[in-house]
Amino acid sequence: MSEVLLETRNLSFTYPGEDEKSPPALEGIDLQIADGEYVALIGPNGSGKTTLLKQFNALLRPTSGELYFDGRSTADENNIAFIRAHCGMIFQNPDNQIVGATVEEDVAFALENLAVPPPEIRRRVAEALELLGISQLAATPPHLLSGGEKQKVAMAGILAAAPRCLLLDEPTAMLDPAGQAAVIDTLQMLNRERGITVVHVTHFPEEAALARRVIVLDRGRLVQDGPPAEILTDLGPLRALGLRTTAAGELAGLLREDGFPLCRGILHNRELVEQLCLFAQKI
Amino acid sequence: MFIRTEDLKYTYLPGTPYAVAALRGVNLSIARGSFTVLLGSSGCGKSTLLQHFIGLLRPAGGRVFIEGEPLGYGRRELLRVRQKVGLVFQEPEMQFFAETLFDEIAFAPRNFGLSHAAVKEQVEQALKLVGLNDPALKEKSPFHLSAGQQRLAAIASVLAMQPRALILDEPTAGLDQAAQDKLFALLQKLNRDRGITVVVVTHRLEQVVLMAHHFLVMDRGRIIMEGPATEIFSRVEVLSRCGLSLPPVTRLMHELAAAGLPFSTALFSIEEARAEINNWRARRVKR
Amino acid sequence: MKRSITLGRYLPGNTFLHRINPRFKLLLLLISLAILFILKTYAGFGLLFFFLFLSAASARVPLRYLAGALRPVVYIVLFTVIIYFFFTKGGLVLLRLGPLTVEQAGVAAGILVIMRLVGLVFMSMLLTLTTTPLALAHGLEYFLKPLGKLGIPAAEIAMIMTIAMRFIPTVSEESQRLLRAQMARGADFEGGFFSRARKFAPLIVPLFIGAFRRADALALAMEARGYRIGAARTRMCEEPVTAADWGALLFALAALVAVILSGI
Repeated sequence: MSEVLLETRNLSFTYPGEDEKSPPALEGIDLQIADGEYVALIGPNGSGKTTLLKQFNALLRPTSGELYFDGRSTADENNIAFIRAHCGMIFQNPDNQIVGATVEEDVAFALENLAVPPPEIRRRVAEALELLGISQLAATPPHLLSGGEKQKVAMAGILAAAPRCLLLDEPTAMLDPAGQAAVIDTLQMLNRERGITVVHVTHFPEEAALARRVIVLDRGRLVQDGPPAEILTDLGPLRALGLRTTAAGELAGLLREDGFPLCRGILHNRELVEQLCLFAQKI
Repeated sequence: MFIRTEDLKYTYLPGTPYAVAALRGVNLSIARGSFTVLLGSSGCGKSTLLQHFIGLLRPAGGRVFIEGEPLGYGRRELLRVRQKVGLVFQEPEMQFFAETLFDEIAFAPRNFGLSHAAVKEQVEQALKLVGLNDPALKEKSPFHLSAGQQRLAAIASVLAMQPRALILDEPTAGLDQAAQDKLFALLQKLNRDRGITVVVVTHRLEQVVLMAHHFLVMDRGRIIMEGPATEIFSRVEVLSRCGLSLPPVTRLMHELAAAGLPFSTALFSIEEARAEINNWRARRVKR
Repeated sequence: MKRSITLGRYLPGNTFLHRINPRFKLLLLLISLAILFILKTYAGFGLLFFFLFLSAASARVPLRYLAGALRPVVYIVLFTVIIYFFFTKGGLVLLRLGPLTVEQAGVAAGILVIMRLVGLVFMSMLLTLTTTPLALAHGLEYFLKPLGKLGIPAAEIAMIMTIAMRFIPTVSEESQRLLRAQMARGADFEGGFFSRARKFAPLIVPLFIGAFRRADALALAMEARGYRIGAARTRMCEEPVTAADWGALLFALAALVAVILSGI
């Protein structure tokens, strides 16, 4: 196990202004996320996914318990700038997170906030745009971009600041299939090639299945935590929360009920294809 | 035919360097009582097209026909068409303004000058249709409903005009699975039990593919394909060229078929796929 | 729906005028305005408009953009003309309408005011068409900075302007969408002014709620990206000052001096 990057200790959180009788948004969360992990955070609406995500880069801070990023507590005001510089966040609505009047101005925003010298900013912005394949959009104003492009710009803006961790709050919810695919491919590339830790809140089982670890939240509590092949094939608890698994996962489950000799833990199409081809050779 | 268009053309910001041809000759027909899905990547002109159906945008060329009659752009005619054809915009809860759910839903029927009693009647029916008829909700602020309830309320606010067709632009965007399921169930109920013509733009195909009769595929301002699901989703290359995907089960069946397994690819539900694979095993074992 | 090119819209390009440093462009505007208000003779105005059209042509700004920009001020111009024509007295009586007369001095003063208004609009149009809003904000920030000592937060003001300009197209699209969404629900925004004003709640309320929601989300996104009020920042674009900038400034100053001395 590599070094722990994010750690919560008995973290609870109640939104200020809520009366004391209402249940807290997060309750007793104990969690460790290692450097370089790819975690999917799932759960029904109102389960606290976004609230937990905002704790990770100190946009919200625990009411009780602690959260540490790389050993630094978010409770200490002096750590906040460091944590936000190393922990970038992408929001659901691509429109409301672009600050700059042009794509490159926006990508530069975080670096400008870190008071990086201008020539260095220009170099890193160009690099980030290049990495995400959107260099040709550098001078484009944001309102002329598609949703997928806007999310890529937001990611480039975070990448330019060379973060260690990327937090994503349903980044594909407003995108079309091509935009979704572009965002997910980028995420996987960043995790695999740059070793960036990813925490991805999503409603889509196909996206959660791509993570190496799935965490399920329900009414502010952490109810399940494990590899997707385990969590997303355990259909009982998922259904109870109104959640679903992938088409391959669901079909594999039903076929096993019908007596097909399939392994447990099938989630991806290619896994089911492989297993059924094996089966075809046997009969 | 309920809605028909003839060579519809529209350009945004004509005569400026920002000019974009959004519709480049759209011809389509939507049958009365049908359930139609309009597919297309973002920026292909779907939303622009929908707005033409009820005269919110005026075409630069071509015509719209509603129930066989050409759409007129006079004030009276527009009002009549908007009552007949309800359009639910993307994220429709963003248009809420009233203090209570009742007033929000009553906005549309009041605009058509109905009597007090008729307004009340239509609001109650609309709320019942979408399942928000709990009397405690009526006096609540629409802003205090849950995300899923807000979406349903926004749809009710259009249904309160008692339209004969309902057009929805990405009605499930941003909703969780449970709320999505509820919404699609509502659309099916409206179409099947009430005979309302439904046209929906969506990228979430797994449920809608089981309900829709007809699919229209739009690309760069034109309708490039139309037909039932079996036809549309067999043309994988055209779809992927337009940046569109298959329903999840169909994609799985395509991958199985590509690996040499003798399955039909024109399957859309998990149960159909399960039956297909079980039948295949039975045939193999018999031989 | 109005689709005219309005003030504040940038026309992309890479001409001499586009490339001038925004700080210098603001100074040029200031000097040109001074000239505009010092000029007294038709010859002077002729010369000024000749230069304006020349600059517009060199920046590849189509004339219809300039003409289009006049549309919103037509009523102001008409109103001013009527006031001046009828109420400034002196010289020959040119026209008699019952008790009212139009006299020579009135016509002369009216024409002068029209020239100034039109010149004002043309100049501001030229500035905004050839300068990105961002560059403009940076230019203004430069001149506001000395006021920091008086407690005026120049950097924050520039940031607010940048964001405001960034969101103008977004908000205007949103209000269009909202208008149509309410029209789809049978709202009728035609009719006289008063009946319209009454019907505006379904537009104004969601527009404000949307703006607040957006502001909230944006503030969060900015905070997440390390923005802190009062913290030292750098800027990607350095906007270097070139010889051409100084040249243009000197030319404008010379013109100003010439106008003052010659009295045209």
